[in-house]
Amino acid sequence: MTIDRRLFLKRTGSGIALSTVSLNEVFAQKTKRLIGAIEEDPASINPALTTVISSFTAGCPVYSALTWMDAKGDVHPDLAESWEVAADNKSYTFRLRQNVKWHDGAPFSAEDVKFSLENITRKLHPWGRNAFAALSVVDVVDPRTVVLRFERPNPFVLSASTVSIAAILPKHLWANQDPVQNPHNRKPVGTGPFILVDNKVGDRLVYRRNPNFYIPGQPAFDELVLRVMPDGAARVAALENGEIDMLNTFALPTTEVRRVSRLPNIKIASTGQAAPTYLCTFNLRSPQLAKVQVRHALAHAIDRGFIRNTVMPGLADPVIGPVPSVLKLASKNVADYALDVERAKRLLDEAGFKAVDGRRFNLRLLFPNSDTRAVRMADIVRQNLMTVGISTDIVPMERALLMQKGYSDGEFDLIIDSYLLGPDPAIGVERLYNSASIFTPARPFTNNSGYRNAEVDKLFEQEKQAVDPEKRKAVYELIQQKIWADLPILPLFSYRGAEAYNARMVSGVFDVADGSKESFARARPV
Amino acid sequence: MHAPARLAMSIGRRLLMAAPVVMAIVVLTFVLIRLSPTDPAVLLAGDAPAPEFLEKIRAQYHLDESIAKQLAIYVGSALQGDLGTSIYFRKPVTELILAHAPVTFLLTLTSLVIASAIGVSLAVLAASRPGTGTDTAVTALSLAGYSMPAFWIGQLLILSFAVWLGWLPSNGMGSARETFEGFEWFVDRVRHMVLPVTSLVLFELAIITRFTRAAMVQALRQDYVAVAHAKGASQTRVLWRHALPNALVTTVTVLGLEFGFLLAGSVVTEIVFGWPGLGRLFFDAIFRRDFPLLTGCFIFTSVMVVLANMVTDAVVSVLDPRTAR
Amino acid sequence: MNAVNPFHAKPWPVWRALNPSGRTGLLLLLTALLLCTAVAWMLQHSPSTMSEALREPPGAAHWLGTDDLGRDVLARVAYGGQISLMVGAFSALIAVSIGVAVGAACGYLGGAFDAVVMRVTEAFQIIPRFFLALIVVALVGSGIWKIILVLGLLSWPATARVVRAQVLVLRKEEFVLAAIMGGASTTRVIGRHILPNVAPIIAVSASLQAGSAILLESFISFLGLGDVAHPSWGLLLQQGQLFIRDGWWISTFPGLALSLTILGLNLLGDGIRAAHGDTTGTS
Repeated sequence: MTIDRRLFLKRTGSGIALSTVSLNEVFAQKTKRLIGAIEEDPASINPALTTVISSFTAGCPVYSALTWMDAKGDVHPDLAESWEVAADNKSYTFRLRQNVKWHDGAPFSAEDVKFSLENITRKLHPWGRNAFAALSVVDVVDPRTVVLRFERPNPFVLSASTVSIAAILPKHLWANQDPVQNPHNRKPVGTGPFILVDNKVGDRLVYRRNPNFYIPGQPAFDELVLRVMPDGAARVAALENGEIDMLNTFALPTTEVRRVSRLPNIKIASTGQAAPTYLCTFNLRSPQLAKVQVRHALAHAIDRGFIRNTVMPGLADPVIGPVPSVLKLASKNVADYALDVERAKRLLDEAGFKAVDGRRFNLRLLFPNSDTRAVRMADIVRQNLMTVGISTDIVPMERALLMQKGYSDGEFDLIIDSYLLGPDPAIGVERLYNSASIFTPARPFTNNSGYRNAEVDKLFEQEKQAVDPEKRKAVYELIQQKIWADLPILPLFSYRGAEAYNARMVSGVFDVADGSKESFARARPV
Repeated sequence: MHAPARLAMSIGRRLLMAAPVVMAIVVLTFVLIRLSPTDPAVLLAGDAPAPEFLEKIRAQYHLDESIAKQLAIYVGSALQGDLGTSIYFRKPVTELILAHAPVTFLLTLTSLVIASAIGVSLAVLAASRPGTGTDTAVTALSLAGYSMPAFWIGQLLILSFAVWLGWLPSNGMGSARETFEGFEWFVDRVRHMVLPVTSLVLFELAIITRFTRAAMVQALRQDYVAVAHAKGASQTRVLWRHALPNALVTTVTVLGLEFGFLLAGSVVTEIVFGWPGLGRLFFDAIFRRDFPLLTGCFIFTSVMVVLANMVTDAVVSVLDPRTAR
Repeated sequence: MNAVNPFHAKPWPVWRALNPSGRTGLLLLLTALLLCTAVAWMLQHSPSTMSEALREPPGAAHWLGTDDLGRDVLARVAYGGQISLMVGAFSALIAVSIGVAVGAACGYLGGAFDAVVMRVTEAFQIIPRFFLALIVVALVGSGIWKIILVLGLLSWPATARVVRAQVLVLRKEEFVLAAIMGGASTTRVIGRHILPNVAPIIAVSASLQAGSAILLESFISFLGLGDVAHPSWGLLLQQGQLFIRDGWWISTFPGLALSLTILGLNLLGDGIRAAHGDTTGTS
């Protein structure tokens, strides 16, 4: 019995005769499957309750929100068809889509929006508690219309109504249940373009197309598979090999971005509306850092240009002032602290920390050990500080330990970590500088430096009352000047997320504000 | 003493010893976890979690109780087969372990079988020509696989065969692109096994070859070998029928004792190749401070080592009933 | 094997005693030591100085190239070697010290003491040391000395068994019996007569223990639990892996250094063993 050799090879998929890449593409066209990667098994698939990245990556195909934001920062309708903003910015009227169904078949209505925003977003979501703090009530005018009423003017509601902060949950499955224990944290029921059908721990998450999705023609793919791939190099190899089609910001190691962008089929998308920024937080309770000259000295000594060029070449932008330039309210009138080692030494002398045998004092620098960029930055900072006579203990820590010892217990001098400062400074920046954000016990990602400036606090209050965008900008200008002079935090750089995808397999992906929050509704096979 | 009786005794002895060891491991893990002042609840909630949210998680997992109480609760359930619930996955630990264990077994046992076959053959070859170039070459070759860290070998293999040549998949146990059935499914699985198994085989080869060879050399010096020669047995027969079974006693025993080491290689290989086995489960549990899962995995690993030793005892008694212990 | 004080019969010519592979092992080890000490002193570049010369391939200015922060790879390999060799040396020291003490005591004293302690030894051997090391390092914090301690404190059983086996044999030898009957104390018998003859076995064990400690430390570093403040070869290898596509020298040279050193230690251990006649040592 003879076997047709080509047929044999093709059927066994050995791929030695045919290259693996084209074989994968041949198969993909038959099944219309989109394959991505996720860094770890998500503990819960619920972007409405936690801000863990894997929860977003796994949950955004499943859930929707009132609006979505594209890569340029423009807001588009999602569950809300249209909206009106009152002149005083204190109430927002949203008109919802008709005939939307939850994945279990139940109809979607305004009651779901009221329930989600009042009980989940405002009370439990880490960012929502900030962004929607002033939400007093959500009125259900009719099954298709809701009005959000705020205690004070709230200019950024539209950008905060996206799935990263205000994902809408089904009331009939979440009301009167403990949100932590609810099994739908792992078996999500949403209104999104994909339905989660299988979650093989350690292996993959499998989604099927939602036949009732409210936008006709979407999604274009029948299936979405997210492979669990903890190793960065392995993810890139799989992308090159054609085994997966795309990698979002967090899945694509930044050191590989340049090389990957030069590959024939791969395109890079750039997102950054959330303004991810690496900050070096100073602990103002430490005796040395309590003095503003010391903080200025550090700013003159740390070579931020070198950090930008080596840690995230091509993707990092300088940050001058507390608000990164990608956000509209960033000031253009703030002067930077130039790299000036001599000046730094003089400032340290003035502050009373003279060098004895070349050494002045010691600082403890904490950072997350899993963040390879932070590891490099710590090395560079240590090197820079040594030139001005400051010795640094670099202490890498697991995330859990860092939250505890670093943030909560305040046992640090410097912390290098990544923050999302957008989409509006009121959401991402204010929490770092407002003395109202100093909690006991301290909470991570709030005002951990212990910065108190009564004038700045007053300005923040003024800013909240300002309705006129020009007035708001003026107040923010002052805020930035003052904070920059005090410098409780030294921003190292902000960066754009880089996503990679195989342009021969898919298009229409990653045109979103934050690449890890892509729903793939608009993705299309090529 | 008859072999079966001796075997039963040694198995019984191992079981008796295993219990306190496992208990010690559990206590040790609890103590270590207590020494580390971190909070898995914080990790689960993401950044800036609401305090009520944290409280709920803590209460659910008895994280606020004293260590003695947590230990008591744990041991009580463990004896009934319930190893607790994973904090991260919210699933029973036993279920998670049993779901991932077969993957590790598949990888470890397949490579062990292949490494044994190759290793023993190489060892016999080297032992039959002691001190020659062949002998040195075999030793050096097998040691090279051991000296290069298993993860490095794995990554180099991925680079060569998956990325540059494109012959084999770079990651995972099975293709995500296509859903195969029947024979094609089998072939796909085999393709995904080639590189990880090769990494592990290279790693395990050293131990097997080295110990077998040394034991062979010693066995070949024994009197009964000379007797066999005198009786006219051929070199091959002497090697394989007389010397090898005695040498294998040593090899098998060593494999049992070094099983923990072999598992280390397996863990690292699983992580490089993205296989959803116990290695990855264990490793992630450490970082997430998922105490129930961590303790469960550690116990399971130790139990596997004990079992491996029992198996090697059994094999040894079969191979050479004359072995005095 | 006749053990009429064989140690005294072959004093110093270690080189002559070793077979070719043993010699290779010794050479490799000595090269590693040389690199990490003498060369480290003579180097132009410091291992932690960053520069603008990012990811430069091996060339005139930097013989082994530079890494992604502009640091000289040769310097990093030399200093990384100090760390790795330290891990090997101290882990082996701890493991062998405990192992010799336990093994010699068991082998010499025998009886109930031997039975009980050997059970404890077997129990220790079961605890998977790699996994325990991971847990300790992850929970109590990374640190090169913690790793050394854990590996050393859990690796002694292998040495103990081997020493015990040898001591058991030696105890029955004539010169030992003669010494005992001559009235020598236990310590004198062990210290003067038995241990010198066990020395080769101890050397073998030390060599092999050092090799496996260095290897396990590289596994620990690979998993991200290595000590960043004291980068060993394993950590350099792990850090360099990200750049394997357009900076192969960053990971390859530490990897080679690591592999060749472990290989050297193993070859040396096997060589010493072969030279002194004993092969596997019972286990």
